Amino acid sequence: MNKRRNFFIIILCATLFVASIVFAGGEKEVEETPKPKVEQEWKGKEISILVLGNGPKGTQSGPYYYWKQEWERITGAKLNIVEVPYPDLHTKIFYDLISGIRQLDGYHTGAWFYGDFMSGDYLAPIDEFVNDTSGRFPKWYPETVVKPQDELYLWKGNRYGANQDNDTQIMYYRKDILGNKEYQKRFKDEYGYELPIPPKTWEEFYDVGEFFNGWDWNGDGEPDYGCSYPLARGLTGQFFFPAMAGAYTVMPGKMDRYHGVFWFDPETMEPLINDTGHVKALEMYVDLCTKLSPGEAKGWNLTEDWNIFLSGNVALKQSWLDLGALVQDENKSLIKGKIGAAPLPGSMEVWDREKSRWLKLEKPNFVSNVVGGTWHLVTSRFSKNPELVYHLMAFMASPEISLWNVTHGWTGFDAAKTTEFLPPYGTAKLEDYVKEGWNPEDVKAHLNATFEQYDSPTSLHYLRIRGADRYYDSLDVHISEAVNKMITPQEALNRVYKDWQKITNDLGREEQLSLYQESIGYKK
Amino acid sequence: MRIDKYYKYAFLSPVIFYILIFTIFPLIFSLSLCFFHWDMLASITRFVGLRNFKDIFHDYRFWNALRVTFIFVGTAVSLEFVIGLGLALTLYKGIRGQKFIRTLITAPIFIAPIAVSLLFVGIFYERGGMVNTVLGIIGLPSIPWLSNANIAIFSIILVDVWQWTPFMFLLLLAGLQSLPIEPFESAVVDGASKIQIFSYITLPMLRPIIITVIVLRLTEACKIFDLPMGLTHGGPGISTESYSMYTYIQGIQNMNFGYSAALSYIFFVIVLLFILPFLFRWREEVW
Repeated sequence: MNKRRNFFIIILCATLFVASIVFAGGEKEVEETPKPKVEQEWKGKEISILVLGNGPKGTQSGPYYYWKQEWERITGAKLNIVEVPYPDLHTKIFYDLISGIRQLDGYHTGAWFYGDFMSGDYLAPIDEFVNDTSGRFPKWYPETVVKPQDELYLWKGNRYGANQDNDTQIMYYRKDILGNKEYQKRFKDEYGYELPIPPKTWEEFYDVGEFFNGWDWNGDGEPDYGCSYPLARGLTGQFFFPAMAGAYTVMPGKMDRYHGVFWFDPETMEPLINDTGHVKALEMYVDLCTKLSPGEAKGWNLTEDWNIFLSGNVALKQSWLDLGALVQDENKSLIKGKIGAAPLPGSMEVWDREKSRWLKLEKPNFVSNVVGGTWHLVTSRFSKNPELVYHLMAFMASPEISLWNVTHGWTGFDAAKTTEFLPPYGTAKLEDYVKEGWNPEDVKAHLNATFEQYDSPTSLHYLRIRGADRYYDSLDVHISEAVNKMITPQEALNRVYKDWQKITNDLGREEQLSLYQESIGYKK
Repeated sequence: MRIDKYYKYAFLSPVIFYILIFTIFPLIFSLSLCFFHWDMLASITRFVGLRNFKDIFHDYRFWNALRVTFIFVGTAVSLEFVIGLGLALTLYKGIRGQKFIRTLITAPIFIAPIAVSLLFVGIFYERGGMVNTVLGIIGLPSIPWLSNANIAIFSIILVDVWQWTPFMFLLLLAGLQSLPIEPFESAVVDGASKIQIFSYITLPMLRPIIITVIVLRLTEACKIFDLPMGLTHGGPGISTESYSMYTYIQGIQNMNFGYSAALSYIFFVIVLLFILPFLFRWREEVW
């Protein structure tokens, strides 16, 4: 009897001990988060939003779960979060809108869905709320968002979204490995020039990648890799190629028919995807993917691809900004404090379509990119509570909340506001990041490279026309064929060209041309 | 008599209504869609006559999807039949632990195909996956199960064989157990060898059930979708993009319903032509 009583006492004590740790931890977390002003105007109301589903602790959907309670406390309203996996996201959003079900008030959307949204007039503009000075909504200061990102929320002068996630691709590299004196000497002996830190052109990127590929440079007993790419079909393949191809294909200079364009001829809507510049870029991309990346990467998704860099086996990485934040998580990363970052490499020659020749340059052609989702919340035109949806997006975009999200890698939200960049590019403090566990040198490299990537005078415009998902699907499929050596890069891009012509004809060439010109701000 | 007739119609009406709404209407509606370019997203609907069909025959992804599907169906169903029949012949004569083995063999049928594909993503995972780890232990090189365009389709076939051989096995076993014992006894008395008994007695008597299981599996396998979707997303490239998957991409993902409907009807005709000989044979044998 005594034995049993003692057993229960031990269990009780253990439970109390665990509970005290859990609750103490929870309290600390709440204390750390900023608390906006409390409003109860919307008490009893309810909104439902559809988000890219990665669970309550995953990227994109995670921040909504994290802030849900706080937002509900402020507004008195209820927030329903509907998660949808990435491959089904477009379908689910547009079935909700087209089928007439229209149960959802807002969508955490990829910016490439804008063409589809606009063709059906499915979104409610938010300008009225942004300009509201009554104090009903949290302030989020659109003027602090870097221009290439902010442009993605606008259409024909109206604003539809507030800044949340920000997708651009930059280059990460192992500064400890590239900075190794012995490796530098060997590189110079082999390639005849100093090991560039960081590589400035894709040719240098290839040389450095080739040098560090196939041997054990990190001392773990296994051969390592020059670079790696996530190459599984149907996921993110369509974004990596354009981000690197811009250097070979986007002519610097003021935008006209031949300058500053990547996707289509802005006067005829003829695809430019199989011109000489794009083909050369794809040849380089295929070489990077097949000669310098792990073989199994052909079946990898984004997370699997990031993991091999985090485990310290890859020297160079073209990646979205999430990687810089993930490096800081010592549970997953072996390379905290060992990374450098820079804008994506450029090219010393660019294809001049007007004169059908390669234009040799004195300095590399760096092209900024905003490829990817730039995931953010937009309001359905059929929502009964558009102001409440706006309150949520403004709340998420407000400087304190946004900075908190940006400094916590698991959210998947990345920096794009001056309040999130370090001086001289912004007003954030190094301590904001360091107190959340970031390595100071990593933060500086990551944020400065991000700002410089956005700041390039030449940019790769975002594909925001109607049916963008179809254009991207074709690009993804045929790039995958080229990377798997099923066809040549030229054949792959010829197939993309043919598909894109058909899609454009199906959707109406004149309408598509008009949308394309609007989306890139092209004027004759 | 007249009242009886009305009663009959009254009782049948729910079923007739159901068939009209859920079978006949979708069939007619989807057939009509084949002649339209209907893009719900862009609210575009225009009559295009036979253009969807013409485009399909010039679409190399259509031909690829057809090729992938037939490689899959031919190889998977043949393997499932041969292995299923082998297992049934082995287990139908009582052996020790027969019930346990039978339960174990049939287990995969009850798992949802999408769960099976997730399971095999882990098993076939190239870096540290179960199969490659075992291969590594016995000194063999890793196999790129899902990332090699030539191997991926056979990995999918392997998974399908793992899941659906038990179906063949169960039906063939039931068929074997239902055969009368007298012809076999007579054959033994007459001194027939085991191969002769199998060739001249077992197989001919089992033919109706063989045709039934093959027809059932063929029609099911032609619709393969979950496994390539879950294992490879149709990749690498389009090397595992099955016909159903391509139809889904065009219809549901790209919302290009006219094209997708035309793809479906073409496949319906192809599958019908493919299965018709079996169906005629089935009719002769079973009825």
